[in-house]
Parts: sequence; structure tokens; C-alpha cells
Amino acid sequence: MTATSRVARRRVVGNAMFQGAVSAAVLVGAIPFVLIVFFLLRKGLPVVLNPDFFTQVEHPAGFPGGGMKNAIVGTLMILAIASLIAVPIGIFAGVYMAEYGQNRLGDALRFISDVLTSLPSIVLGIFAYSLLVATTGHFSAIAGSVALAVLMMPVVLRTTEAAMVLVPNAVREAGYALGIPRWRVTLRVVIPTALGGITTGVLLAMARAAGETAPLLFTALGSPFLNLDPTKPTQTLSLIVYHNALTPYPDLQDEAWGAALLLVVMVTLAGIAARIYVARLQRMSR
Amino acid sequence: MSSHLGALAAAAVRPELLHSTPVLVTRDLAVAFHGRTVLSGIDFGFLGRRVTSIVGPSGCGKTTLLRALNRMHDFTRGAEVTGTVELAGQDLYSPDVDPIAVRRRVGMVFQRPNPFPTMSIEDNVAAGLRLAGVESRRDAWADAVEACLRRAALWDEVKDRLKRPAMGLSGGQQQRLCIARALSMEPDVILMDEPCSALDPIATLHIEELILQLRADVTIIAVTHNLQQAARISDELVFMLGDESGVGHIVESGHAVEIFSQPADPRTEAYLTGRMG
Repeated sequence: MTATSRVARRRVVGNAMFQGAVSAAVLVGAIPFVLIVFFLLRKGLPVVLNPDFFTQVEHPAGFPGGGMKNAIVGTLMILAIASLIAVPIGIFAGVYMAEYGQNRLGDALRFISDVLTSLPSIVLGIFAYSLLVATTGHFSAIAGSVALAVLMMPVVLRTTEAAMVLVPNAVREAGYALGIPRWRVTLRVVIPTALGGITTGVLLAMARAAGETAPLLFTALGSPFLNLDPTKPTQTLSLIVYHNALTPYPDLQDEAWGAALLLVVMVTLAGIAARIYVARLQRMSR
Repeated sequence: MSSHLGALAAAAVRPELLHSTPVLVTRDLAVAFHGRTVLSGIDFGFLGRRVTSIVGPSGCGKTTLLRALNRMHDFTRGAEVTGTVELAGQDLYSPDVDPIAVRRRVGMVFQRPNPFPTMSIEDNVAAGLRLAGVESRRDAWADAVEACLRRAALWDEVKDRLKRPAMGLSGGQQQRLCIARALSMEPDVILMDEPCSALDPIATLHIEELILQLRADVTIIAVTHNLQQAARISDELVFMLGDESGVGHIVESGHAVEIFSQPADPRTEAYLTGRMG
């Protein structure tokens, strides 16, 4: 064997080993994902496909025919209230940061916003607890919504700011050069142009909040009843997973799998919708 | 003496050129960015109802001068404008003048067409009127939209699709749309920053014809790096250069016909004949 073919053979072998190692790593990394999807579908699909799942409230262990109606309604209610708080504040702050925040105060606010996003969500739960539960003496959906709103607000702020900054300055200048006041250019020209990105950010923030459990543990608390009163404890899909998984009853545990599957489907659909929307916007702007 | 001859030569082409007064006058205008002067000692009177082209090599301060005329530097952090810019005798930089009112009287068309992306064709043209609070009744601004699109030579091409998105138009059409939009505010002066440099030759031709039509009732001041274009459309010419420290000055100015045929300054001749970039 000549010297060159020995080097070449070493190179081929080295290449193959490296490719093999990388492929093995990818497969190993994919295992948890595959297992999760497999178990979710296997344990949760039969539960979800039962019409009782959507039409009935929780039944105690041993009483068949229970469902998630109270949890679904609760999730939607808490999410709606949290969005009503977080989305207007987040959009307003994001617009301000993009248009008037290129200064030290803006940098400080951006830093605070990033820190808020990385806070453990259970800390937000404690915060809402001391603010609204300890003071009023009872758990409530609103306390849970406040905790989630604090979680959502920085996400909405940052995505709104990013969407606004993406609007080309030429569009703003076109407005200023016509003698339109600056705030009007921002409101009637720049924000509508950035609306696609802003909406995507709001959707993603809502999807993230929908799956949170820790902030709701001692704020919304959970409840076996269908509840439309925001000042009372309320059940959510994530709380049901937590509560039911810890029980020794298999039927309740199955319900937990169903709730988990529904949550994952909701969050995935929101993410896909956001991605399709962004792709369509990018195609249109070309 | 030679400028008198130049005036006569120009007047032979357009008799009305004998009578014109400056409508926009700068006195000792200077612009600095973060303390660094980029434009200095600009004293010039732009004649009314003429096309004045500002030419010069890249970086000589042409666009900086143009944007100083409608107070666009107000939006640039670190920009400092000194001196005066008088429109019909009133200093636009005086503290009791509203900059928004300034921009309604001095309009601007930009290098790349920039229609408002989310608006239809008619909403774009009417945007100035409606958002600046000038006209909110639909019948009034709809008439203005048609009038401006006709003046911008775009009406026939878009009259059947006024409600379609403006971004669906071609580059040349978008630029004419931007001109129609600028016209809607009925400005005394329209500033144009290299209005054709992003367009193909046919679209450029349309815009140049449009500029020649518009000058009957609007003063036009255009920055261009295309000397042939300047020769085609200009009544007056301003030639600028940056000195060794990068500060822009006016080297020579006057009737375009005269400067092109017999430039007074050797640097002007060097630039016009292509010996200087």
C-alpha cells in the first residue's frame, strides 16, 4: 500500500467514524421526543377521542364518564384575562421601545425585560400569591392570570419591538416628509406594517402561558367544578395533569394523559400557525 | 457678463425664465453630525418654478443639503443645523415655526419608492391629507386622489384598481405614486433625492417627462448623480464638492445650459467631463 492510499484510507475511516458518531447523537437526542409523542398518543388519544372529554366536568375517581370541560374552560378564561393584561402593556411598551427607546433608559428596560423572561415561573407564582391570594384570603383565577401576565408581558414586548424595528425607516420617512405628526405615523403606518410580527409574538406568548403549571399551583389552585367566576379557584389543563398524575387512580391518571395531549396539540398548533403566518408574510414582501 | 449671456440663452429656450425669483433661500447653512461638519457656508437661492439639480461626487453633501431644506435632520440624532433656510421670506428653522407645517410646504420624494406597504393605491395618495388632518371627508379626498394621480401621469394605469395594494405596482409606477402622494399636500417645493436611480431606463424617462411637466406650478430641487439626466431636465445647476476635511461646499451654480457649455471653475469642468468621479 502506497503512502498516499494509507492517508486516504485513514481519512475515509475518520470521516465515517465522525459521521457515525454525529448520527448516533442525533438518534439519541430524538429518543425522548419520540417516546413523549408515542406515550402521549398511546395513553392520551383514547381519552381525548371520547366525546365526554369535552362535554363533561371532572368526575371523582371510580365514577366513569368524566371530562375536561372545567379545565378547558378554566384554561381559556385564565389565558384570556392574562392576555387582556399582558398584551396591551407589552405592545405599548414594545412600540415605545422601538420608536423612542434607543437610549440608556431603553437599554435598561430591555435588560429588565430579559431578566423577567428568565425568572423561574414558580417565582412569578409566589409573587402573585403574596399580591392577590395572601391579601384577599382566597385563591382565584385572577391571581393565576396575573402570574401568567407577568410571564407573557416581556415576550410580547420583545417581539413587538423586533417587529417594529424591522419596518424599514424609509416607510417612516415617507410619512414624516408628508407633514404627518410622528405619533400618527407610528400609529397609522408603522404599527399596521408590523402587525404580522406583533400578532405572531402574541400567539407565541399565549401558547407559552397556556402550558405553564408552576405559577398556577398556589394562585388558581384548581377546582373540580366548572367555574366562570374569576375570583374563585379554577381548574386548568396543566393543573389537572399535576393533580391527577399524583393520584393512585388509573382512570384519573388516564385523564391526565388526555389533558397533556390536548395541551401539546394546542401549543403545537399555535406554533405552526405562527410559522405559517410568518412564512406567508415573508413571501408577500418579496 | 457671461451669466447674463447664459440667462439670455436659457430664456431663448423658455421665455418665462427671464422672470423668476428665489423661493427657497439658504444663508450660511451648515450641517454637522455629532460635531463633525459635513456641510458649510451654503448660500443659495433656489428659483421658483424651475428644476434645480444638485450634482457632485459621492459624499459631497448633496443629500445632506436636500434634507436640510425640509428639516428631515430633525429626526437624526446628533445632527445640528445652523444658518437659515427661508421659504417665501420665513426662516424654516425659526423656533416659532412648526416643523410639520414646513414639511407640508416642502415635500420630498425618495431614492427608493416607499409607498405605505399596508395601504391601497388611493389610500396611499390620500394618506397625507387624511393623516395630517387636512381632509377627512371621503368625497373631498377622493377627488384629490384623482387630481394628483392625473398630475403624476399615473391615473390611466391605475384608475380601475385604486383599492388594490400599492405594493403591487412596478417600481416606476410606485415612484409616480410617491410623487402623486407628495403632490397631494400642494407643496410649494418638491425635493427629489435621486428619484430615478432605483428605476429602469423606461421608467426613468417617464419620471423625467413628469418632472418637466410639474415644474409649471411646483419648484423642483433634485439631487442626481446622473449628469445626462441633469442636462436633460435642469434649468438651474448647483455643483458641490467636499474639501480635504470632508466638508461640502457649493463650487459653482447658475443656469444649467451655461454651466454645461462653459463652466467657470476648473473643478466643475473636470467633473462634467468625467475626469473627476
